[in-house]
Amino acid sequence: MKNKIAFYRNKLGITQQELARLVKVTRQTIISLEQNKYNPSLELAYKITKALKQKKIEDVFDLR
Amino acid sequence: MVVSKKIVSKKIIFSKYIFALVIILSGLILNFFKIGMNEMFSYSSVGNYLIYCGILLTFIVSITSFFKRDKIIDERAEKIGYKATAYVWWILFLGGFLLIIFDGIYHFQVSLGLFVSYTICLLLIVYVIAYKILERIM
Repeated sequence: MKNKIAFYRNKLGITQQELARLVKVTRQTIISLEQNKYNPSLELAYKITKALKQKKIEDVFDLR
Repeated sequence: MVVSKKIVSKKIIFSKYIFALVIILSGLILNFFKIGMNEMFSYSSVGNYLIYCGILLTFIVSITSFFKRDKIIDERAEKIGYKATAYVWWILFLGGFLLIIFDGIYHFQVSLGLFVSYTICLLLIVYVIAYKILERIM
């Protein structure tokens, strides 16, 4: 699963650490997600989408 | 699956102190009722051994609590943990199978205490290595 976390995070101007704190995970998890090494649970995907101020999960995550 | 949970060190440290206290009290009770007065691991009784373990645990918890910080265990860390545990089980089964084969070729005897100690050490090492590798891959 591909995602645009890094893109939207940079757009908002927040660091990986800040995003991690917002969604209550470790920075390593954000790194893994951005590198497409780890597929998040629906709950985490939803939280990330909200933290990145996006409306739909599909805007951030894409099944490719 | 919960995204993450914050492990609050204070609660864990407190529960460890309680556990140490229970061990010490068990040792005192055993000594009081003179149960298990046979020599055990070079200690004069099981009670004394438990008291020693309890004091040692209290000492270790006190030292480690100075360096502990609150940590976040998220879903990825849990997943890595599950996988590392699975590898440990596989190593345990494989190791057991190889030991049976080796025992058939070359019969050997080893004390149970030593065997269990080495097995636990091996499994802990396998777990740590598997966890570190998976942490890099995942």
